Amino acid sequence: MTDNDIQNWMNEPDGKELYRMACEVKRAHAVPSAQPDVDAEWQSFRTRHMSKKPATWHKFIAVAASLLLICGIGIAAILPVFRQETAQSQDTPVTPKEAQAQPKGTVTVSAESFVFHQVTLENILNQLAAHYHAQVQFANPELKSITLYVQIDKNQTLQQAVQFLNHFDKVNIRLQGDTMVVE
Amino acid sequence: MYSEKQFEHLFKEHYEAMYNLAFSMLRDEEESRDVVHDVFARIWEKQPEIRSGTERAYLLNSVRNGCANRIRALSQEERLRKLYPEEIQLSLNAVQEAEQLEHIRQYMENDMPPDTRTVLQLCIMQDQSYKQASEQLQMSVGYINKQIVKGLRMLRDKFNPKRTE
Repeated sequence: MTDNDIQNWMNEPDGKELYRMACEVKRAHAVPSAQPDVDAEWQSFRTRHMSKKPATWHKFIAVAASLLLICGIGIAAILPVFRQETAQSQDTPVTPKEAQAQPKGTVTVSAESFVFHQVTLENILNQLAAHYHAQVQFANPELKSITLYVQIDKNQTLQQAVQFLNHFDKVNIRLQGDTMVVE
Repeated sequence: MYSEKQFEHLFKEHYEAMYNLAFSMLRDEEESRDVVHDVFARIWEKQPEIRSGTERAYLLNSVRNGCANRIRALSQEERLRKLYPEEIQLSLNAVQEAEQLEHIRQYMENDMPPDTRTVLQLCIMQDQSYKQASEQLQMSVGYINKQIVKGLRMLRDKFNPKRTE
């Protein structure tokens, strides 16, 4: 129908209703020339739209990411504490994880090493003195009570052990013959 | 929340009905496909809660709204020429609407005088002008117009008897 044809009956008093009815007649008989291939449509849809995961997935990832971030901040906050206590040398790596696994204030002695966990410097040096048959002298008694987490290889020389302990900011030990002098 | 497997099932089960509904409104294969894909894309992305058992109604209504939006975006002239409805009736849900369309088809086939049916077929379903139809059917343009009005009124009285305007 041309616009003019339509106008012919649109001008009837019930033209609007007739128009609406014509639309429905048109609709009722509108059948696509071919039925869609649903499997092909699914494949095409999948590649176009489903690489994006649904919103809840995004939320999940966001939650996981923020948890990770919080953990990261947590570790970053804890790390400096250990860093001071574990100025590590390469031959005796000490990780914060190992430190946390052990109870505080314990000394673990094995055939190869001492592991001092949050042990006072006085205690540490006394044990080392016994091992190396050396003496201990505290020029600065305040340092007796600082606690350290440290692992010392028994095969090291006394000199190496002292050098290693001197990596800690607060610790300054001088070897005077067989005597460790803490300054 | 739909798993991919469930979503695939939903897609495959309802695709055809949705496509046919869209096509009945838009009469364009590419556009109909777009509307249906848009509906599924939104569902996959937003994962709305669809009450179990109402999926079909939900999907068909979404298709209808999608089509209505496209029709609304056209100019008045274009809508008229394509016999697109002025507004989408919201009194019926999409499932009832599909049933009504089926009833209209059956009524035209079985209960309409042959002349009236033929004229409606040529002019409305096949988009012929009054002039073309009058040549083909050897009828006057005036007679054709009369048949159109008569046919549409018959249908109106049958399917929308209460509506007055």
